[in-house]
Amino acid sequence: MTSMTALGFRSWRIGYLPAIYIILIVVIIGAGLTSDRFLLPSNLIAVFQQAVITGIVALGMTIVLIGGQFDLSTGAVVMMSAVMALLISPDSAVAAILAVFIPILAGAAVGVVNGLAVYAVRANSIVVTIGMQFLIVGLVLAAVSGQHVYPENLAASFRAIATTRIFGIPMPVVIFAALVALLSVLMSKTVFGRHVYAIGGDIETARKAGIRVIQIGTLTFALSGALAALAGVIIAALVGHVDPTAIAKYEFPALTAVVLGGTSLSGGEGRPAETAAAILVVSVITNLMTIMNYQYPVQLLVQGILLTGAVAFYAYRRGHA
Amino acid sequence: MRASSLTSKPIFIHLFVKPPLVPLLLAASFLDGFWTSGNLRTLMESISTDGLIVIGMTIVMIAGGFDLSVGAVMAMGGVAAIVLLPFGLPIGLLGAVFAGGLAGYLNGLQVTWLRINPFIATLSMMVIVRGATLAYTDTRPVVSLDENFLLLNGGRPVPLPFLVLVIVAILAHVALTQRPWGRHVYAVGAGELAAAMSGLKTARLKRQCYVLSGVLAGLAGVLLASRLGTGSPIIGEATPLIAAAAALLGGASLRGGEGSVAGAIAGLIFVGCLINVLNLLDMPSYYQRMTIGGLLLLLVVTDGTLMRLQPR
Repeated sequence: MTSMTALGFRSWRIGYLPAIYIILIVVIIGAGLTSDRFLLPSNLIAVFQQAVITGIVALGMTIVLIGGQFDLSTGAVVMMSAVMALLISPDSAVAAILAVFIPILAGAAVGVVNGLAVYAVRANSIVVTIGMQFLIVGLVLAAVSGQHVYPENLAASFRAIATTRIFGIPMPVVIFAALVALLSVLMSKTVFGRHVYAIGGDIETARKAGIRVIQIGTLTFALSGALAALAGVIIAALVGHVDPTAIAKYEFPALTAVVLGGTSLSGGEGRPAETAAAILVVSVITNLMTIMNYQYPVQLLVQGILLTGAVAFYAYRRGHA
Repeated sequence: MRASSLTSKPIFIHLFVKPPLVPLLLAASFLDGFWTSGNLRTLMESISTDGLIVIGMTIVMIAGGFDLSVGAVMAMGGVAAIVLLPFGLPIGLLGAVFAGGLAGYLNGLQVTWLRINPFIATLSMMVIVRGATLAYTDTRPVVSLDENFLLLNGGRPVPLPFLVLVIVAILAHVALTQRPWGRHVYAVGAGELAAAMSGLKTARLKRQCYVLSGVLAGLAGVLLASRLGTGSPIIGEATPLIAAAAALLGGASLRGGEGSVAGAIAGLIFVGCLINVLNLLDMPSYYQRMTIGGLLLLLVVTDGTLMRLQPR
């Protein structure tokens, strides 16, 4: 922990506990009191399933944002990899392995392009990744002519990625928990993680201190692309088909969670575990709205207010800290 | 006149180099149906609504900001105008423009008061405005058959919205180049600290730019709704990208302090013709998304490279 404080890490905490965990507990108790259907095991599993897909995307965006940049191409990468995985049409175990790894490599490749544009050329990351988002969505829709992708024989081994249960816990939840643990260690205990915090803290100082900014920075985008692609593969395995025009815009709820989790918009601060807690907060609120029959538009509105509120809150706190 | 002095004139650059407008128009001439009066009218109509937004975006970019909410505000403007139409056309128009201005003011407050990164501030405003518009209309377009409202898109041979664009462009050009206000906006974008130290009210100037962008987006929404006869809550997703691409093509920069209305209009005509050509070739809409995304990517990378090449 001392190394974190040395790097200037200061999330909003109550006592020793980051506040987002308290918010999560409050939100869960509130949801349980509001609706008796919320605490049903089947509903709780639905909350987790929903949280996991957005959560994996949000983990990647957290790492990019700790480096001080934004990745808004993730929603498009989710869609691209879901379509790719199903187009490889895994009807055998070998094809199933390819259908997992080729989309993830493609997602990482998209991340490398983003990362080079941002760190080597120093282009604005938001505009670069929004441009990339449109480019990818257009390319994928052109590749499948805007049609629904519905492979006929999907290998059971491919579906198993998402449908297996370990001690009753769905596989995607296990993958998500493992990723949170893995990325927490990566960011707090390794040289790579330290360098990312340093780059986000002050890129010029990091450069002068001899950190290979372009390589490390590009790697954060590659990681984000690969994680978004993994989320897409899980969707493909979970649902078994995909309508590329209807796939949700994962980058907004993910960004909301990243900011709510206390990752600074100017970089250098933030932790994967707190993003994971924040994504659960967002998912519980969304789930509660679905139970109470508020549809997508209201959910979008609430998400926007949550994002603005979180951004404004942290901006206000930093201005007066 | 020597060739070198001709090629360095802004008008030449806007027509041939940045953007290569004349080459594109020449290429388009090979296409059947580009130079027909029907197609030119379609082109003028689409350019006039996007153009209002491009002018707003350019002014915000000159002041060193960015506005991602313009597409959502445009959709809101169209819906607001049609919803308020039963109270009379002026109320509908004013309501849409006021709603746009309010969204712009809130953008400005986030950027100046809370010092939030303009991209994130306007991104969250985009999500809020889009969500509110979708929730209010229950995701269905609102329809108007009011003749006076549909007449806003009338006018032969030049459509009325195009005249509005010409007037707004001239006003914006004069305000930016001939008035102290314009010089102050450039100063804020080029170096905010220096501008503040020389006594400019930088926060107020920036808020004014965001309000202007919101108002113009609201107005564009009204004109678009009049053209379509409906106010659609889902329209304008690509609008901020088109506007940013046009402004960047016209010499604006993400660093602020650069750009002009004339350049932005040239950039807009280029992007508009490009989309029009894709339509004439019967390309499905996703090729448009692809082209716009690729163009924007190319432009920001160029913008970034230019920054690296400049000695600092």
